[in-house]
Amino acid sequence: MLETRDLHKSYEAGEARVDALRGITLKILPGEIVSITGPSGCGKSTLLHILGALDTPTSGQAYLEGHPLHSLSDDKLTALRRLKIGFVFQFFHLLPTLTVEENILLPLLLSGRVNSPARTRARELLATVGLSDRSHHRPHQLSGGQLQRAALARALIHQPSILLADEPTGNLDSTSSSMVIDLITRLARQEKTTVVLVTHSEEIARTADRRIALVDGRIQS
Amino acid sequence: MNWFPTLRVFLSHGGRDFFRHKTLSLLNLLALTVGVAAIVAIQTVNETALRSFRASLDLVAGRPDFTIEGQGFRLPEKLILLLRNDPAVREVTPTIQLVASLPDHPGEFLHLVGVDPFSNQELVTYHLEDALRSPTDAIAFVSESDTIALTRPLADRLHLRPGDTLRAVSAGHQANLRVRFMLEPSSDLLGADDHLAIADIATVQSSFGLGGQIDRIEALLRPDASGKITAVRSSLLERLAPNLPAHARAGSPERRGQEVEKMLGAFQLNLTALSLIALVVGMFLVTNTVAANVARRRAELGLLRSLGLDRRSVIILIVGESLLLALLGAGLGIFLGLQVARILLQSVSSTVTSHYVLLSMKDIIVNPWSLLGAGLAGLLAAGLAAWWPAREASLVSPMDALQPGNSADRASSPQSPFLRASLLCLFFTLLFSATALYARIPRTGFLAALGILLAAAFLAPVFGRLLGGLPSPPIASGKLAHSAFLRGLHRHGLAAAALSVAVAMAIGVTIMVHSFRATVDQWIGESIKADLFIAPSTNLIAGALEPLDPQAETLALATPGVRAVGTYREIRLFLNGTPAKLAACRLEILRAYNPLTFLSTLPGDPYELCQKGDFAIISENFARRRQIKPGDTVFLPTPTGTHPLQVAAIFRDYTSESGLLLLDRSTYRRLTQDQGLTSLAIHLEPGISPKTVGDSLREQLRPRGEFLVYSQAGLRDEALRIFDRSFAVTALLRTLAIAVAALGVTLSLTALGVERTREIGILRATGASRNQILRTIMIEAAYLGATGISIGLVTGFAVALILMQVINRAFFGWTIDWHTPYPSLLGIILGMMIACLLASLPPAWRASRLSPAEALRSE
Ligand SMILES: Nc1ncnc2c1ncn2[C@@H]1O[C@H](COP(=O)(O)OP(=O)(O)O)[C@@H](O)[C@H]1O
Ligand SMILES: [Mg+2]
Repeated sequence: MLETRDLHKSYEAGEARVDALRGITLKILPGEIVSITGPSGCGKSTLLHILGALDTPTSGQAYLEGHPLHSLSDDKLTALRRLKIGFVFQFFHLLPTLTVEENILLPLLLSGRVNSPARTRARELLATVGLSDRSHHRPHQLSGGQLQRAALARALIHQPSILLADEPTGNLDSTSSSMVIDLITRLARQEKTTVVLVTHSEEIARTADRRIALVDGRIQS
Repeated sequence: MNWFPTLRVFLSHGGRDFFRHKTLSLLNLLALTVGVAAIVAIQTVNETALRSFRASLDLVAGRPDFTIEGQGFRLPEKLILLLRNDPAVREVTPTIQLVASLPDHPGEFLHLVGVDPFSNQELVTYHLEDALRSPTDAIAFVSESDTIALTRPLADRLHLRPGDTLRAVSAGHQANLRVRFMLEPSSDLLGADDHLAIADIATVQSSFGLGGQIDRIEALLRPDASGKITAVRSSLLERLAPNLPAHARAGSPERRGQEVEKMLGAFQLNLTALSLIALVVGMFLVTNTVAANVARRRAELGLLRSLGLDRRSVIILIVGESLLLALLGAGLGIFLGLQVARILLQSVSSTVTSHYVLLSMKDIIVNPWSLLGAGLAGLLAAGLAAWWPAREASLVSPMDALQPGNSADRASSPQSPFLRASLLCLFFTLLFSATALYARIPRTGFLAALGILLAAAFLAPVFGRLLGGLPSPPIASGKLAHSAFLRGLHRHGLAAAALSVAVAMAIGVTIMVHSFRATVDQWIGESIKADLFIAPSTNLIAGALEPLDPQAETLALATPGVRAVGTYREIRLFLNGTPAKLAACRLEILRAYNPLTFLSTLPGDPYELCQKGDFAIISENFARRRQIKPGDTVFLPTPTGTHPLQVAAIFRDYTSESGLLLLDRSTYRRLTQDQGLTSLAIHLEPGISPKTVGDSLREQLRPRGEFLVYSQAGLRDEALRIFDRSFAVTALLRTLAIAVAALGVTLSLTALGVERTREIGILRATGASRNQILRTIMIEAAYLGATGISIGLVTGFAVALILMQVINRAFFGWTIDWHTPYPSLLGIILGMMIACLLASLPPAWRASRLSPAEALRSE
């Protein structure tokens, strides 16, 4: 499903050079829920971005369902994101111009697949995440927990094969956190979606099938 | 509070911010630079024109205390004695000027000035160098009756060496002049060019049949006991008055300078108004960037606020930062403006020459005060522009500012204040139109134009929202662009406003110029009926009003195929201190071959009245500007005294900005004793080819000097060519305004691009391709363009109306028939839209190339 071999990523910032990833080799099976933990700055987001075809490694290989993420063109990477990947971020990242429903339909809008079955699915997802009565609201009218649930619905609307969540509860209170994590695990199991979940919380990490600990750009064994 | 340390923190952040968002900062700088440059360029060109113009009146005599000159006609020589014998006068020197053509050097001419080298020592502005002997033999200059001094460049160009003779022609008099002296104009001699030539006054008089005549007298006065000359001058004026001819104007050179300014006044006003519009457009852009800056640095401001910075200091900091940038922009603008002025100089110089007087401008004249003024205007604009967003920023509560997401996400700006402001501006437009037309304060006409432009600007955000009410294009990027545009209105509103101002101005000016041109063209078609026209070549080349060789009329009358010859004499003078054109022609020829269209007349036949008695016909603009109607009296100062002339009729004429007073030739000659002609209009027998007669006339005239022989079509083309050249600067400014407005589009989208970096990251993460991002931003630009252009189009018609019906009427009094230039308007609209899309390309490209991961990390 997801596989990396000796993944390296370094940033050049003028003179300074930051090695964010220093040789990550991992394998994630279909349907698995994997958590990634580690101190701030250890490279979790960087790894997630590469796995999510948002960024490319400096060296090493990454494969998503056999597609070589490290060598594809921007257009191919875009296509993969459209079809196979869903993202949830720490700061929700809904588009402020669009309503909740439009935000959820965004991945389909971008790939020209908004039709009535899609709308039905959007309504179902909204109901599942408990936002049916909020579908025509703007993001700024929602609370953090609601925003993150909407973001989750957006990440799943196009039935991706993998869901990548970068500290999805980092900005939430504990009640909202557990609600969001419950939803992620429930929906992922239901739709057989592979999940990679970056978190700081021990409790959340424990709910995963497997746990990968990063330290300083390496996997701690 | 002691905000100096805070200021330092903020400014160092600002400095870093500047370099982090280079494009944005540079665009901002550019907007200011262009605004200031436009003002500097125009001010400098104005200044140069004016100073050169004034200087050209004092061509070879420096700064006299007192001058006497003839208006329209020359002065009698005996006035010199009158002045010389006055105890208050210390030194007196006369000059005479003419423009002579050089038959052996087609296309060249001499601007010949006759001087008295013995009496002008203290006023002299040039240096003579004897090419035959050293030291210079000044006696030879006077004693040899055919000696002249040329500038070295002209002598070189004509391959003339000391001792050679040069054939010069003026008003039918030919003279063989001997080149002996070289003329070295002193460095502060403005308004002269290579064509300047100097000879002893007696040489000029005897060579060209001007015995006993002079053009001007310059005098130096003895100061009174207190060392002042003002009182001395006025008492001298009183003593002289009874003995001066009616057409003589005496007084201080400054007073004459002011009159001269009046001649160029309308021309200058036109340019100044346009440069102000460039500044207004620039101001919108600055507001836009400062607002973008503030929005981007909300968190920083919130932090400073929470650390104890008070509201007033926030305003001071933001305005101060903008002023700092403006300082740089003003400096660059001044530099750029001076370069542009150099480029414009040629076009302005030839415009002034063809409309007013021979004007030569070698290099720009820089007035440090006007540079300072333009710089301050730029700073003021930047300060004012920054004030509004600064105030808004100061109202942000510290808590609010520290929350992610920007204020515009939450609040949608109210519409009604904009609508109200727009209506208010409209009200002022009407008010100022009324004061310009009825209270006779012409300058308020420009305020009316400014009012309508501002009304359009305020309407931009409102109209943008209306446009946003329409369904969005049915593609993903269309939908995204639509919602982004609506939310970006807080920023786009300003860009759209700037755009609408620029478009309105471009369209208004285009309609006005086109209508004016079409009106003039039609008028030429109706009023120019003669088949051939003859004029001295100098009048075209040098903008002079030299008399034609009287032989030309005789020759024309004797040429087979010629049925009638109309004559035309033209004089420029001041009537009641305002410039005017006096013309005389054979009204019986006009009546028979080329009847005038009268707008109103006295009872009876105006032609007959004018041929029999002291009557005149005036042009429409003469009547409007001076509020004169048939039956009123106009006083004409001439060498034989001031003569009252009764206005017999008003007719339409477009040949003079200042207005035309037309007399029958017999009346003119009787009253002025001037036998000269300026041009001939030749009517041919039916079936005779103008070309054949024209060629034959050219052949016959060739030995007598250089003449221009125009066909009817040729004259029309020439007139329209002069017309087009007069509006060349206008066209340039129009282009400038459009360029500045397009810059605004880039600026707005770049600013929004920076603000929305993270949103672009989200879009990329959710599956947007690079092309979709590119398309989204370009469609957003199209929305922006459509808003600005729609308002601009409608407002443009209103601007045209104000230009033609208010400003033109108040200043010039022409009648301009409305002609809509549909193809040009379509061109402006399409051009503007393309400019918007092109302007959006850099920010769109930049956004589409952002790395999604980087974009997501941005704050
Ligand atoms: N664009 C960048 N330029 C330079 N360094 C970066 C950039 N992005 C991330 N880094 C650095 O890479 C390292 C890993 O960052 P990140 O993956 O965001 O860590 P985490 O998500 O685990 O907190 C950090 O030291 C961070 O400072
Ligand atoms: Mg992270």
